Amino acid sequence: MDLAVFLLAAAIAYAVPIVYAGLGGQISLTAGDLNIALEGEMLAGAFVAVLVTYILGSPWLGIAVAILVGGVLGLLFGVMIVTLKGDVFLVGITYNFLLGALTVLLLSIIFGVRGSFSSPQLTGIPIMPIGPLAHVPLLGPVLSGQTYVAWLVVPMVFAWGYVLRSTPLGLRLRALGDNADAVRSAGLDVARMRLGVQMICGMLCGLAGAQLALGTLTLFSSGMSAGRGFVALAIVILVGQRPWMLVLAALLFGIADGIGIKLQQADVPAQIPQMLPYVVTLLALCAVSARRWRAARRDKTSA
Amino acid sequence: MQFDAMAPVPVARRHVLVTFAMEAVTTFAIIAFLGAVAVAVMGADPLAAAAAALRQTLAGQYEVAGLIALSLPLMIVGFAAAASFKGGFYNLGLEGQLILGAAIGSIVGAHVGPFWSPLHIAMVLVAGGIAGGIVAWALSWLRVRFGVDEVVSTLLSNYIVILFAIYLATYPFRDPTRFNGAMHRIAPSARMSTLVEGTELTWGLAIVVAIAAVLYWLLHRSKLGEDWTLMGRSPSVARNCGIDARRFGMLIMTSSGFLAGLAGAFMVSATQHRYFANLGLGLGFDGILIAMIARYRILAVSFWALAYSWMLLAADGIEQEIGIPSEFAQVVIAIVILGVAVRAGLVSWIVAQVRHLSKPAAPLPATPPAPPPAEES
Repeated sequence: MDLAVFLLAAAIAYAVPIVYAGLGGQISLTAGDLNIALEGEMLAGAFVAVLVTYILGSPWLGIAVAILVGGVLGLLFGVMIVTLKGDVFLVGITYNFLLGALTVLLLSIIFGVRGSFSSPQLTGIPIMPIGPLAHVPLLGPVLSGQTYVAWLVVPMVFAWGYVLRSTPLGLRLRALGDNADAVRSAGLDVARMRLGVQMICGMLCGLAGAQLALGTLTLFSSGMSAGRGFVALAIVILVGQRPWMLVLAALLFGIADGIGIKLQQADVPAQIPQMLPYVVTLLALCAVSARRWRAARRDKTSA
Repeated sequence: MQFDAMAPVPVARRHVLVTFAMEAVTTFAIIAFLGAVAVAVMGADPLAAAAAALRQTLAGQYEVAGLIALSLPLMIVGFAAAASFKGGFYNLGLEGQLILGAAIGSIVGAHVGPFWSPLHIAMVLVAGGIAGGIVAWALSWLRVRFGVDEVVSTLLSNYIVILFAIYLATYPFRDPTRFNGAMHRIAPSARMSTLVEGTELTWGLAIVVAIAAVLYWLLHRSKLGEDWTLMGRSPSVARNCGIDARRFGMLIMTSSGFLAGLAGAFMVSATQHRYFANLGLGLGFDGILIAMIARYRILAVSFWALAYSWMLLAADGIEQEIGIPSEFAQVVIAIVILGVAVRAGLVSWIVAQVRHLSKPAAPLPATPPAPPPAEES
């Protein structure tokens, strides 16, 4: 029971930032751009959230500014790949590098530290009280420690699922990813849509970063996104356009991460369990790709 | 710009060199200008910073030798990135392949032998190369066999492979006399001998020059290089030209991984003499940036690896003397490379804006025509 509680709590802690970044990635991929800048935008969000929270003393302002800055960064990324037609991968790699170096530089200039910053003045995102639900066995202990931002995942995923399935906007986004020319001939401004998508993606990454830095921990350390943006991207490729599958996959990788933490406590060489979420992601990616590959082949031979 | 690979005519060759020189000077001038602006913004004197940078990097033979020594592994990993990107594959796992190469090279250097020194060094380098090559080969196999997108799989592989290398250094091959996560020192026969006494510059320089020459010939002067470029431009055209795209793609990825692993083993044999947990972190992405700014041309990669190392050392010097954190150099470099990546689009965007301004009365189409496919990659 304790183990189950631990694993589920660890899974949620790991999954929430990934789900936000993944939502951004899913929106972006739906609109046809495989965005590898999630990682850097998330890192920037984490830094801004910590910086603003430290200076202004309110995690809510930290989150708000992180979302804002994320939106600006996303828009900038969009301008580079849409307006200026840069290669999405090349720009993405460099953008991640730029944001990584920029956070280290600012950390050093503003706080005078290298590596990581934490302070007692830094308040985390408040935990949402859940009332009588806290006494339910298993679920109670798991859910009672979650921040407001973590809970926000639920309405967000509902909303995005609804927009994607049942609104003209969702239809347009899907059409944009399938066939941009068709969208253009329908009289829509493709470039503006893609820019908007990148902006929203950046805002979600900013939120992901804020939760990463102020959710379970309250600190910023250089490179703290540690590949979570890439894991989110892999999950997006795995689940395609299904928002709830995104949540499920993120939770599964979160459980892998939790098992890793437990194994570390059990005297297994630390590196092996640390690999676990990445290995599981890679294996899942292979399995799903293989299935799609075979299905595509079957279609080709039967047609 | 890559006509040199397609048609080796003497006239075109001179032209290419002149173009490259102009391009390099312009890019470098922009970097220096942005660097000066960054220094000024942070409240220091750009001239003092420039003096500090020059003092720390080019003052004497020791500084120059140190600069060249630093650039050698960057050149090899830059070649690795150029090889895969030129062939149309995004091997973003160079970081992991380099580090695994360093770890395996370190094991071979410490636990196999000692042998006759050149043989032992060659064994270390090849072992590292094979380690990196195997990782890249496996990922490319997943790509051609199951269609696993190599961008994501190589990115994820970094974390797995680096943790594995750290595991090797922390448990089975750990040097108990050292802090956690360092391997045994390699045998003297596995170390490259110094070229300039008192510096880290070794005879490895000759190895890198040889690698550059071979790669230049292979990628820019041979039939293989033509196929390589064709694969990068259009795999379907390559297939129609009778290239086995699957096997060729695996060759491209594997050779890129081999070079990355070799770069790691080179670091161990030339300067570090052992693998430890932080060795090589970030170098894989440095190599990618170098290859991008050089636009995947081997000789340009050599030049830019040298320039990149100079910038890193100059930034360190500025930090020591003036106190500006050295990361500002990386920020400047990244901004310039972003500029390189969007250069073509930026130019046509500006042209379009100017045209738009010059004849405002003309009825413009509501939507622009489809963008031309990005050239020169």
